[in-house]
Amino acid sequence: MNEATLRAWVRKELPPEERREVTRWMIRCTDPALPLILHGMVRELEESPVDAALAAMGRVWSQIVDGWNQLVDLGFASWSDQAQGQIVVASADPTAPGRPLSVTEAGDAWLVEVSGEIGATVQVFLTDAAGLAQTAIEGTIGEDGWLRETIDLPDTVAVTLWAAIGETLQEASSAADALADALADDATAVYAWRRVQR
Amino acid sequence: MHGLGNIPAAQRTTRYNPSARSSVPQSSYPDQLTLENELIDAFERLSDSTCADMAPLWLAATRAAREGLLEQATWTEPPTDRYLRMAPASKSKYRALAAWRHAVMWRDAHRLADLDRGDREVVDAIYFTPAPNCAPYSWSRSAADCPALPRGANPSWVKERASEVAGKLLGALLQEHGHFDDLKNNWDQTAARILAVATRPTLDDVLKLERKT
Repeated sequence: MNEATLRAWVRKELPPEERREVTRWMIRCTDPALPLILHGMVRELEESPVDAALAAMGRVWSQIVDGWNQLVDLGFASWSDQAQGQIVVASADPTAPGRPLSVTEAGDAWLVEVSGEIGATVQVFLTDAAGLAQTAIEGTIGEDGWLRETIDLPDTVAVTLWAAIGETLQEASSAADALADALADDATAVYAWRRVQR
Repeated sequence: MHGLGNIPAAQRTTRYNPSARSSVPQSSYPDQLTLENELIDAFERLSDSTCADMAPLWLAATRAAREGLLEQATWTEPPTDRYLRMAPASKSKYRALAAWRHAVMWRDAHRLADLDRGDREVVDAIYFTPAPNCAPYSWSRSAADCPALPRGANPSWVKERASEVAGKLLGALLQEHGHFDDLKNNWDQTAARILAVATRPTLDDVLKLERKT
């Protein structure tokens, strides 16, 4: 257990399954330092308006993950294991051929590849374990049917990328908002990639 | 509201009435995982339904009681000075409050105490509704951002009645503690230790109880 994961738990930014495992770890931990550290992290969150905003986003984020899992249950989305057990790929279009979102290590960076209709708009959003959400990539699918770009990923355990593909995707203020908009409106496909361990 | 009456202080009792108690399972915890999953469920609801400090306060309150769990986890880094400065003085009464709240949710004490709707509304408004994350960690007349009490209710009466109902919940938990304490299974014994923390007399101060011995 590291400080970043614990802080993400305090801010309610972890996906439900990961959050539950962290809670299990807490219940098994009788180290007197743990309550002090948690108290400190709660105060840290309260003292920072930016962090408070992130906490609010974290709650939205949890709802999004819940929503995604419901889509999985209904068969409209899927999670599938990938190599090394390190990452999980999900698609809101389970019938899409091949692997529409791929994220692979490329030296110190990560190569993100998204496939789709030629000319379609692609937005890739990144949310890390500290709750920082940002637009990682904006572009269009090239003539070969792919958008390829190299990005840096935060050095934390939980990182999620959401890729939305559509004709007229709206600019969104956060990854969670973007995913919600994309699922509700004009995305033709939404894909997620999640690093669940290092 | 239903079933509410202004009970004079002289008639108040915080002792649990066994005749009102519903059935208690023989042994609820055949293994650690069953117990752990129930503790996790209640722990997750604890902060959401009250305030954020309840999570670390519960962990502090139940530290010794949880030592029997297998595969104990450890925190390898000492807390930094910065965190130590931020951590509030966690008075024992607030640790007890966290343990009691958790146990009420964990053991479904509302059901065990056979509360009517009115009593549930009153106790939930004072003790199980999100409140500012500072002492007294529950509804307070002086806290501007506390949620509203049930419509038309007199705050003084609601607080007094909430103490009565809190006493009933405490009584239900005391009975649960006695039941699990009688069992020899390791996990039932761990449950008994956690319930013992949730029923300590230090709780009386924050719940405004007048516990009869």
